[in-house]
Amino acid sequence: MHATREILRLAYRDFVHEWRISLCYVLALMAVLAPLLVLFGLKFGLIDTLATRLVESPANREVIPVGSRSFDEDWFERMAARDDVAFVVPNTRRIAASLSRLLNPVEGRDLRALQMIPTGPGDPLIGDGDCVPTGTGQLVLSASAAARLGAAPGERLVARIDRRRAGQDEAAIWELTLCGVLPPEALAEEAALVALPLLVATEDYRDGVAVPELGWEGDAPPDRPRRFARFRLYAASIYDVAGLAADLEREGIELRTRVAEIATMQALDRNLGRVFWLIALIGTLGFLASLAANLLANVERKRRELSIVRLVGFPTTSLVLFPVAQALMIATLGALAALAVFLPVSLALNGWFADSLREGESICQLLPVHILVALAATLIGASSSAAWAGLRAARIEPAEGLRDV
Amino acid sequence: MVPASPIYICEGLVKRRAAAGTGFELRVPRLRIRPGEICVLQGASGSGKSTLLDLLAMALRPDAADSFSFRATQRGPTDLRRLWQRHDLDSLGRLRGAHVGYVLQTGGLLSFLTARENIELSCRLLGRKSIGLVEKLADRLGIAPQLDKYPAQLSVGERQRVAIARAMAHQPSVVLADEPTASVDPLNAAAILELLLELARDTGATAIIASHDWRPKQLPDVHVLEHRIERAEGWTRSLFWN
Repeated sequence: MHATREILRLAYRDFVHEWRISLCYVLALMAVLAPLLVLFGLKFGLIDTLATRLVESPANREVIPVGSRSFDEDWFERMAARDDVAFVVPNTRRIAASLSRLLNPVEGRDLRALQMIPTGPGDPLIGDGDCVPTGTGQLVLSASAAARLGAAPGERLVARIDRRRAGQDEAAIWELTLCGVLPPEALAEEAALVALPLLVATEDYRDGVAVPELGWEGDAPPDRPRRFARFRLYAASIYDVAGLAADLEREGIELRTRVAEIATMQALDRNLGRVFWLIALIGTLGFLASLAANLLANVERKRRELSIVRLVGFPTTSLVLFPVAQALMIATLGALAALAVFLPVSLALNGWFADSLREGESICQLLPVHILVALAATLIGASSSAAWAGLRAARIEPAEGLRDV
Repeated sequence: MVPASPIYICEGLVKRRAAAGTGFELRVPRLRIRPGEICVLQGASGSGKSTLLDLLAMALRPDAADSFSFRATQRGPTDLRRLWQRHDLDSLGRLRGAHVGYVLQTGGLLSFLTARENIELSCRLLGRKSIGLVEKLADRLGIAPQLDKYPAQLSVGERQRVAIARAMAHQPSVVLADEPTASVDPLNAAAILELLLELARDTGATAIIASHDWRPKQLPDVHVLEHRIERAEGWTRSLFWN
């Protein structure tokens, strides 16, 4: 017990007494660890951000029908039940799926021929917890559309649709509540997301059919189940897109997907990942080798001191503890110095790329767990190489190291 | 009065050092050293004095021994041969740390500790209080003003005095000194050796001192070990005994 306390004190005193050499070891460790931390930071920032965007981006998962066909209720139920389908909702004919005019009465600004997109619970474009419009009185706008109107969530807008019936121009005007605005990256174009009933109502109105809920006059609805010309469909993941598209094409549906782009991006992601791991592997091996080499050299240099310590009567554990304690001091200070380099570098990188990043993304970042892993690897690598060297030094007879000149 | 049992018993103790073409063998046919005895090893340099001291300090493994034991005060003898066979460096270290003080020819001090801390080292390892003791030793050795300096700031003579204080501070049963004054001027050397002997006598410690030029004729209680060199084809054999 005395020996352990005493040897730790000696290790510390020696470390401080030789502070110039200690500083060299600390800086040497920092010099290899800091770039490695930045590299890992880029991996967990840049590469993972790109990969996540690729995998999660709704645009990459969308399967878009080309032209109009006729899909019934059964078809939509069948699609919704599939595991590889994340979201499916019926869509009306393209020509009917727009508002003739949407006006923000407060600002006096308006949009004409604004595209309507059907939505519903689970829409990948709408974030968790954000408003999903229901019924015929709510809508969500894309960021660009909301900006054009100068409208904010909660405001009331006035919509108009036109039709020509029996040689007369007619229009229906009603009020809608803007219940949410999409983030800019979700949808670039100007569009309004509305619940299916509203789309169906506008399609009916344009077909000259009455919509009693909104007080729109017209003919009685035909007595047959409703069929839809189009759909909006998202695969569960980008990996499901190809299979899903193949099944749909077998049904004779013409489609547009981003399968080709996905394959290219996946290959790029895979190769970027490989490049990263290759550099990281070389860097890590180099780091561990330089750490071990430095600490072995340190023990070699301390051979005489260790022999004196042995001669005074310290046990083997003390002889191992002496270099291990010094290695831990070097490793801790070196790792802290490397972090002190990494943090401003990552801040600078994230600052430069701030414009192309979304909320919660960074170009260069390490989570606390990554930093802990780096610290633990450094400490374990340092103490094991020092322990090995110390054990080797302890195995020799005390007289052997004493009289070297 | 029955003479006290020996502190060291060596019989047929052998240490060989082989080099290309030549060989050296240190042989101790029979050696018994009693507690409180003051022994001097004399012989030309290269005659194996340091090797014998290292063996006695339990810091060097003997190549052969019929009997090799150490008996500290109030304890039974410890069979050093067996400890070496087991390569039990920790037990040897414990024994050395508690009962042996070793003054090396040069150095032997830790450069990163002050003179005071170097002197205290053995006491601290043994968990003993050394308050006052260090100052007393330093006073007698004339190094009191140097206590808070580092070895690099001391002269060679001062360093040797610190080394002697280090070897004596924990009041060992045996003090071994390997040419402690070889690198000191003659005047200083005589004074330092006198001090070492005085301290050993005062504490009742056994002292074994190697010196190639020191002739302590005037000291009647000092025993000089018998020594002979035998040379053969490619071999040098150095013998010490009493």
